[in-house]
Amino acid sequence: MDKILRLVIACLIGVAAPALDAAGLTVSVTDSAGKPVADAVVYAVSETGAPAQARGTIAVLDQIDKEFVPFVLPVQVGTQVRFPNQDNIRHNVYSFSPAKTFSLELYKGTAAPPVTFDKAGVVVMGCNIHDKMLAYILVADTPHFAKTGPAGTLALKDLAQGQYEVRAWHPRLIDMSQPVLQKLTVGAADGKIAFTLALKPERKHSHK
Amino acid sequence: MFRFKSFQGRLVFFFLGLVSLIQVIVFVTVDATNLTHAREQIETALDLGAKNFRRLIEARTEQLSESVRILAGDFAFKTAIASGDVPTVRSVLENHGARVGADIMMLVSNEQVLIADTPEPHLDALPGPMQVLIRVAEQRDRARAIIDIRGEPYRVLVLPVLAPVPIAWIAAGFKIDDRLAGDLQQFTKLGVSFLHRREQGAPRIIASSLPMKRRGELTQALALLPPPTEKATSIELQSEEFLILESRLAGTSGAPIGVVLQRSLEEEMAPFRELRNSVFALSAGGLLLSLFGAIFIGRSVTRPVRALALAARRVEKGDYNLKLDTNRQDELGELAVAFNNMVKGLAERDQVRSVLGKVVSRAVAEDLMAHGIELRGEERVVTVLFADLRNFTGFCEQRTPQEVVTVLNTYFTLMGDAIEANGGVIDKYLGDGIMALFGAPVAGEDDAGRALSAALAMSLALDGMNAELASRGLPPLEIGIGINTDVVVAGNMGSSSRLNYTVIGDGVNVASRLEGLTKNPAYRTRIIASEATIRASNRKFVTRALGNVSVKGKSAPVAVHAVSGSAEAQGESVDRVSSGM
Repeated sequence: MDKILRLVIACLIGVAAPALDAAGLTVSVTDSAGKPVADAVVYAVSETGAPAQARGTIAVLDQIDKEFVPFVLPVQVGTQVRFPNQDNIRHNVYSFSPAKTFSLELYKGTAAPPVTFDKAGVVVMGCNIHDKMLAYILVADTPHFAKTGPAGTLALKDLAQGQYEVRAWHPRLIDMSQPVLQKLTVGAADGKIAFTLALKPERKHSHK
Repeated sequence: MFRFKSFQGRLVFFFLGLVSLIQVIVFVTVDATNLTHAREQIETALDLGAKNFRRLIEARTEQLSESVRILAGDFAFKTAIASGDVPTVRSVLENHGARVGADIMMLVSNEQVLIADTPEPHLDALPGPMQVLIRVAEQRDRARAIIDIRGEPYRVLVLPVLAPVPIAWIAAGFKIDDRLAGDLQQFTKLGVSFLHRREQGAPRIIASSLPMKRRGELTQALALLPPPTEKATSIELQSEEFLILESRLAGTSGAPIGVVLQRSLEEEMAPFRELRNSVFALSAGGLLLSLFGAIFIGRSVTRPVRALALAARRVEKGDYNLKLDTNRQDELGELAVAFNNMVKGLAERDQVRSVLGKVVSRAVAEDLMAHGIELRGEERVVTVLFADLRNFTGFCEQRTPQEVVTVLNTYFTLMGDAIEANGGVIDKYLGDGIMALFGAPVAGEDDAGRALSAALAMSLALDGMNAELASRGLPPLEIGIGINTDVVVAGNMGSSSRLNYTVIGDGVNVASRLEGLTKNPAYRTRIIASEATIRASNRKFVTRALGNVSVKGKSAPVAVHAVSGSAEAQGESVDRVSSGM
């Protein structure tokens, strides 16, 4: 419900406020079978401009009913992520990922300090007392990123004109550390781009 | 067929033969059944064993799998692995591997690179089959197989190390070795051998619960067998029969590993052999018992029968002085009673016959025996002979009674012999006189002729006796004989308790009268026979007609003749009715 609402809001904003010197990019992501893929992250890295660092940005990865929400969270490098625990039991949050290795010892509520993700890459998080809890944070070195909804689409907006490398990533990519790339030149008009991702079948124990 | 001399032998042979036959049949049947049963038992055990065997290996794998899964979930373990420090990872593998009882542990990266392993010395690279296993584990969350590591088979399982997505793959395994075979033997109660079946040559035993010596024999035996068919097969190892079942171990990569389960037929038969020994003992006991039984029954029959036969033989010889035991209640007892009664009857009859023979003439006695006593007369033609001593009273006066009896007995014996030699029957003694019959009680051939011959024989015998008397200085005896042939009444006469066989009638009186005539010296003869007798005789005699005499009781006078010899003896023809006087 929450996700749908956010998506709707995002769409409304995208449609309602186009920038004058920038263009939007509509992205659709499907799997090899042509089905729309949700939870895919697509981000555009400018080949000309320097990578931007987020400053003072805070993102939230909730823990609700022994699940991380959202399942996939894209953030810009430098973002601080808070892990509020909304359950009445303690949780641990850990990651052995090279992009960010950390462990938040068992805590309740908002006791855990925020974690700063200062390196681009994929961070896989779990809870060491709840094997089924799983979440991904994609740390992108660009402010232009978005995540697909159930329809498998997203919109990147306010892209300055220029050359971009558009990357698509999904937790079930055959090689999770290698996003799928497409080069693109953004002009004055809004563009469109489509990704077809080769995904592993969903694992039994995986999220949802 | 062998012939038995005794009933007992036959009985014993029959009984023993029958009992033995039954026992042999029972024995053979039981034995065959037991053997079949034992084979079926083993076959069932082998089939079950093959199934259980897989289950046992599966269970063991499962047990290891659970342990390793818990191990892989251990956060400290994950932390150690994530450290990326190979010596640390290796030591944690050794430490945790020992915890779960694995013979081998390996950690493999997502990129299928061997990170660390426990065997010493360490492996150079990931064993080939492991790549396949990890691929399977990626799909199914786990994988297991028997793989070859440095030429030794291991049961290996692969599980992901989740953090919480797979960050590496952990492999753990146990070795297929003698210890495992021994453990499995304990569970299945079957000989367990793991082996490599090669395309060519004898199979190679990898591990076994068998002693070393047996393994070589098994290898040789297996080399001769066709490829395994998952069916029980009989083989011989050192002349001991085994049933074996060879099956392929599932989930094997590389050279196929087979497992041979086996059990000794001998061992399986052991309880049956005990049973067989018992049956043997019982059979022998039964045989012995039936032998005694047969002998006992045989004796109980043959002994009285033999006694009976012996007794019968004695009776045959005229010995009636015996009595059989009659204290038996059965048929043989009845037989003994009947036999005793029979002997008693025979003895009585014999006694009667012998007594009778002395009292009456033998012919009369036999007639009485044959026809019984009939108190009735019959008319028949009989030649009656009367003989009497002359002047014996005078002879007696000068002699002792002893002398008289001796002389008289000698006389009677000689006369009796002469009469009986000619087929006559002494009817009775009348003091020193004799009455004899020819033609009664049984009619014979030429009774009249035989009577005349008897008279001549008597006369001759007396001459002989007189010569003997003279030699002792005794005076001679003189005799007169009268013979007549006539129809008389013959029969047993008297009361029912005492009777005499005799003849009565005028003819008898005439004979007596003719005997009296011989006293007349004018006739100069010892023997006077009536015309009727001379005429009835078929033989010829030297006779002399004495004319007619009137006899008391006879209306017509009777023609009489003096008889002096046998015509055949004299060799001349004599006119029977020659004139005399």
